[in-house]
Amino acid sequence: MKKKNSEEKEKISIAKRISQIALCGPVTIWSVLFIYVPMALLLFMSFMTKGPLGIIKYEFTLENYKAIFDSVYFNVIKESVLVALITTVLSVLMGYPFAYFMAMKKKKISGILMILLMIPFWTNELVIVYSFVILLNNSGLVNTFLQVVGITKEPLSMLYNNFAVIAGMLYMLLPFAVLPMYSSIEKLDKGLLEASKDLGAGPVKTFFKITLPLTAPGIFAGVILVFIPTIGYYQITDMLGGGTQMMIGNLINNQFSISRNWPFGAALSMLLAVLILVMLFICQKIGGNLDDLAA
Amino acid sequence: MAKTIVSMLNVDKWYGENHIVKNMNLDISEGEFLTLLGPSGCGKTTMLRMVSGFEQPSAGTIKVENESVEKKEPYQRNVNTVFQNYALFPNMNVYDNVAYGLKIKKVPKAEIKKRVTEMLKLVQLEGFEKRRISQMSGGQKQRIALARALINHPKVLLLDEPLGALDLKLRKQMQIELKQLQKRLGITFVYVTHDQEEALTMSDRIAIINEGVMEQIDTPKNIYEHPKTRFVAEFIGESNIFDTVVKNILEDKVELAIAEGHIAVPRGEYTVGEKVTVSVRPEVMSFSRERISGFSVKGVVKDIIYVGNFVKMIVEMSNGQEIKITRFDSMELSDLGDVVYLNWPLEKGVVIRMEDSFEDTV
Amino acid sequence: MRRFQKKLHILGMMLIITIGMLTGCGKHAGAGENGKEKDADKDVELNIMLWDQDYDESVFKAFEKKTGIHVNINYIDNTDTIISKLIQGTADYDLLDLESAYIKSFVDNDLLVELNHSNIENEKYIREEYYKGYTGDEEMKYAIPMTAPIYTCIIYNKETCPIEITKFEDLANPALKNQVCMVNSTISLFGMALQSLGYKADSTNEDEISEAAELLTKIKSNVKAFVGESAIPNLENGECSVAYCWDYMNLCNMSKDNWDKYEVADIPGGAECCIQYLAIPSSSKHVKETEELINFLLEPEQYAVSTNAFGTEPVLKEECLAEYVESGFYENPAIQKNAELYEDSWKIAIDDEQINILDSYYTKLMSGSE
Repeated sequence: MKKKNSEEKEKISIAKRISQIALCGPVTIWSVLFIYVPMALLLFMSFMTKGPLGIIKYEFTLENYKAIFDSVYFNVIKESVLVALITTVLSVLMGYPFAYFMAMKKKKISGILMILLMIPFWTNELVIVYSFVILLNNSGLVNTFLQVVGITKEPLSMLYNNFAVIAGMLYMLLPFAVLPMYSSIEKLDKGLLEASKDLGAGPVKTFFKITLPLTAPGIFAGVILVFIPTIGYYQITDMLGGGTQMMIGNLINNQFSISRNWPFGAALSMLLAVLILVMLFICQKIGGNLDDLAA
Repeated sequence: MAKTIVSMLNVDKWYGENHIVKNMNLDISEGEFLTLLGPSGCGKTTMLRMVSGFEQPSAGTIKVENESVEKKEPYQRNVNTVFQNYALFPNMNVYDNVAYGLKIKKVPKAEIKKRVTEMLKLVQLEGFEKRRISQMSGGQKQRIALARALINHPKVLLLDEPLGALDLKLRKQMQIELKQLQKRLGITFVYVTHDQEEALTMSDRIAIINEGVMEQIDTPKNIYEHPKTRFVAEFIGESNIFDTVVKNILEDKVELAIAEGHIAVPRGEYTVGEKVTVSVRPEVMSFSRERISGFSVKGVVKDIIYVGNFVKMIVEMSNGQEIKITRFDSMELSDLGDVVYLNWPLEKGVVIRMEDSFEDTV
Repeated sequence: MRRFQKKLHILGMMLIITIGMLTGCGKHAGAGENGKEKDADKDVELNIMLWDQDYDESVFKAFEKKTGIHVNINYIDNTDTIISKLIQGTADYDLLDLESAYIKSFVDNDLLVELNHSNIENEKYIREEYYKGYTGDEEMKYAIPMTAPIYTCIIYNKETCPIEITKFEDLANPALKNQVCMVNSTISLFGMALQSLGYKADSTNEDEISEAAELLTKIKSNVKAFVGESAIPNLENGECSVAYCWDYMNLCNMSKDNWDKYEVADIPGGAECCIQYLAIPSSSKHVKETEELINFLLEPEQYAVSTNAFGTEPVLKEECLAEYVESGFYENPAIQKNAELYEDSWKIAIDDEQINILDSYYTKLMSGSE
């Protein structure tokens, strides 16, 4: 009898294992093949030497990492981090009130708002950027409108400056900021806000003492989701900013194409990975919860 | 009579098409323990939320300390609430939760510390200051919520089914603690519950609410012994309800006809043919093998149920109505299948003369 | 441990997203790499690599109809990656549409097959002045020109450009603040600056390059936008009045209004000259058939199809082509201008050593601050 029992148990555990493999197997294989293996190759390549015509010479070197700290390249990295940080801060500042507004609305309304918010995701990035160019240029829609209405006589310079870059970045990345913040605000027990008010705190105090700390994980998730793509973006700074400021993305792209220095490009990519890791680490430390990324 | 601290004057509340609170008039005296009792959805929580300020009445006035609170936000009212699910702040420890109200009012730190310590002592949670909320048990959370509200010395403490989430034993213990605390502090408690036993145990007065209407407000004893409406009689404790018609007005009693046979009540102002409902508690119900003068209620013992601290006997009358009789000892009861005649001391039958109380049932 | 794994997963996803964004343009490359080996007597398939907007695909259909040889077209978006692939032997193509600047690299690395000119008799239609090899293949052993040169030159709007431009340095004139649009190509920028300063465009002398970088930095303060492709939108929508770009022919093709509106500045140092050549990689297994294809492409009637489709200047003689191209094509002032530019133009060959040096100067230039 006992034996039979244990046999049955074994059967169950085998069935369980099979289902586990069936569920997790594809993802694991996928991530090993397309994430970990390429990462490992990139890491390996970053320690190799550049040969003529973009060929990689299999000789170990640390030169690629030393070159990163060359002021010329370091400056690019610094600027990219700065742009990414500014974009991140702005999208959180703009996204939070919107997420809050959305979370406080009825399901039906917030659903519609959500769809509106997601529209940029359905559109190709390049199409969006070109639309911005068409909208904002000197003889573009916005300027034509302003001149016809008589608000301005001369066209306003809206393209190829920081305004255009930030507008473009925010357009692309605001949804990334809003979604996790929305989810954490929506999950927030509204009873806590009532409790705070009941205990004498006005709306402002309630916001800073209760709402903000309790939705911080959503904010951190938003920060991560905006910062990471932004630091790699360069199409927007190229096409809306006029390409006068090189980003780390341009730099890496140049290494893999024009300069044919794949090892250095690989080292820069690893640096990007490290920057992202540091960002994740900081967010985790300050109190963000990576699980909120899933929401 | 103590002075009134909260009053509702002709208060109505609509949610769209739903009339939740209907023309409510209620005075709550300073220092009393008043319970709003009713089934779920009867509007009692809405009444509470209108006092605390989270809901606005659709019509009528609510006064706290004789002053209309219509224009006051929740944080401007001198009332505090203990919420159903505690609503403790998970981002703060026990100390900070309790100190919250005082910190908001910018009370000096030293005083906050003193008062929080006192308050935690009062709710028997000294030494838990640094604990996180998630580490506390349900009963402890309840005490923290209580301490967090009481530390502000509110004129009125509103409690919205505060014990609902606790298990039975803890609930009973907390009921007694709450009552003692209220007596000691002398703060007015307005307590919302759907548990009639809880209401009877703790309250100075109970207001029975049904479908947005106050059925009766009185002391627990009066509510239990003299329910004014059929709803109250059925909702509070167990009752045997007889729908009757006045048949004979005798010198010492009035005979009332029931479906088969008749019962009696003490003399009063009745007219022959009038419809009257009589409620009799199971514990005062007697039975005998022979007919007793004034009563002619015959039935068969259908079931005997052991409930623990008492035994319940179900007697089925010929029209199918089941009559409950309770005793402390099964020795005092009859056997299954026995034919018994029911009766009770005349004065123990409660006459409910609300006109609408049995219109539908006779 | 679980948590750590989860973190790793999330990080991995992030990186994939980021890397995906960095390499978002990779499209066609590699589609033809699995070209199966075919026996000679079976159907021959040619895998060819073209730049977009050079050849009309109907021409290859016509070739297939005529010869029964199937042609698989793949589009190039980066010549450098093709070089790497060919050197490492991970790709085999039969035909390459080559930018002239890369010919030297290909030849130096033995990546091309010597052409048998007797199989390409239609080369007789090529204009004499263009029937010659480029730097690295002066004797035209490996590559045959297929388009007339395109020049990287200064185009200005006659109505809105505030100054007269007589030299490359004029682009640094403060009057042109926020008026200048430039290509972002390393070679075009540094080559032009070096030429303008009197040095050779392919100089590897750091002092000279440094001087060129200084000049470019000055000009950059006037630059409104650097473009990777066409500068035409920025000229057309009035954002810029001057552009250093390779778009003059296209600009003139777009509208006759532009013939008077825009002018090419006549500057010392000349213009960078870029020609598209056809060459056969040494990995090709069908050299003869490919030569047949090249010959077919040079047939005036077929050649004109692409000319009409894209408006690029033909390399063939006018008298052979005139009957096939759209009427009025030869009235385009850009054709006359190109002939003038040709005499003074400079040719550049991608040089590994120079590229190496330029990377740091280019990065510094484009990153703006110190």
